[in-house]
Amino acid sequence: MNRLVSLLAVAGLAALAGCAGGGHGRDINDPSNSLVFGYVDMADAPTKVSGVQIQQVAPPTEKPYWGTDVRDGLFYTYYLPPASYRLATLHGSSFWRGEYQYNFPRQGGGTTTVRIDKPGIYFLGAYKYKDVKSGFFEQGKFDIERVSSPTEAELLQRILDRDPEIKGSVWADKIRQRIDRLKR
Amino acid sequence: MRRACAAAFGVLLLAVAAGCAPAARAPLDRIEALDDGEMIVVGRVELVPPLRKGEQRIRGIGTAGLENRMLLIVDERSRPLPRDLAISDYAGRVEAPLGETFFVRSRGAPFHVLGGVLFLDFGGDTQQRAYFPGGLQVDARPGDRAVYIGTLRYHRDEFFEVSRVTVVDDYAEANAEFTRKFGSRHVLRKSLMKRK
Repeated sequence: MNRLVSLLAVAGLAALAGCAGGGHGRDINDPSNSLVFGYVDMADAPTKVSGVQIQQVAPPTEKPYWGTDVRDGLFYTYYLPPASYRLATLHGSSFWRGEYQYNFPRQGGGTTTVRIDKPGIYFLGAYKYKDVKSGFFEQGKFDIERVSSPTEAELLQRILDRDPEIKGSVWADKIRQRIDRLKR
Repeated sequence: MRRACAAAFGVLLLAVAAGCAPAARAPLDRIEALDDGEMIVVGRVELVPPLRKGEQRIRGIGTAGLENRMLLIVDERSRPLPRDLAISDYAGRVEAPLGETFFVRSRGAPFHVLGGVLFLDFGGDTQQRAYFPGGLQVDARPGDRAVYIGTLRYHRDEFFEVSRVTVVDDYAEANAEFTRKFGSRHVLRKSLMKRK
C-alpha cells in the first residue's frame, strides 16, 4: 500500500502550465518517447479528476510540466523523453465545490515517480483517493492508497480502445505486446 | 467554504514564514558586535549533488532568504523535526547558503540541529519543501566566542530522497575564512555536530 499525505488547494487553474496530453511539440511516433500512465479513483474526493500533470524533475528544465490525457481516472502521456518524473498535481472542478488542485509532495521517490533511462511503457500504479482530516485553519490534505484494480493490463486495454490517436500510432503494437506479456 | 479558508490560511502561513517569521540567527561581520554570553557559530551545509538550475523555484517579494539556502531548524531542546512546522519552529533558524560557510550569532549554549528545510517551490500556486534529517547536537563551553560545527553534507537524488548524511571536518578552510573575516586575535574552537 502506498500512502502519500499531500496537500489540497483550492486554486484557479489558469496558472497551471501545460494542457491535456501536452507533448511539448514532440511527435507521437518519436522513438525516444515513453508512455507513462496511471489511474486514480476519485470517488471519495471533492471532485472528479479532469487534469493530471507530471513534472520532469531531472534534468531540470524551463518547462517541467507535462499534461496528460485523462479519461475516467485513467491518465497517460506518450510523449515523455528519457528523464526523471513525478506525479505532480491532479485537478478537477465541480459545480458546487469549485475548482480543486491536489498537490503531491515534491520530495520522495516511490511508485508515483519514475526514472526513465530507456523508452518504454511505465505504469505509475492505480490509486484511490482518501480524505485526511486536517485542522480548521490547516490546508486540506489527502492520501492516495495503492489499489490492485484496475490492473495495468486493463488500463492499457482502455487506452487502446478509447484513444484513436494511439490506435493509429506505433504505440498500438507496443501496447498489445505489453498486454500479452502481462497476461502470460 | 471550509476548504477555501484552509487553503487561504495555508498560503498566508507560508508567506509569513518567508517574510515575517521569528528572527533567524543573524549573520555577523564583526566579532566585537557579540554581546556577553553570545558566540559565533561557523559551519556549512552542502547538497550532493548541488542544486541545479531549475530545481528551486522561488518567486515573490521578501523571499531572498529562501533561495539556495537550507533553513537549519535548531533548538536548545532536543526534539524531532515536526513534519508540519509551526511558525515558532523557525525561530533562531540558521539560513545557511548552500555550499558556503555561514557565520551567525548565537547564544553561547549547546544546541540541537533538528533538521533542515529547503523550499523547492514558493510563490506560485503550490508550495513545496524538502526536509532533511537532523538529530545532531552541538556542544558549547562557557566562554566560547566562536565555534566551528562542521559541514553538514546531505547526499540526495533527484527526488530529494536523502541517502546519506555526514558531518565533515573542513576546519582548516573554515578557520582560514574566519581569520580573513575577523582577524587572527580570535580562536575558532572546533565542536563538530554529533549524533545524539
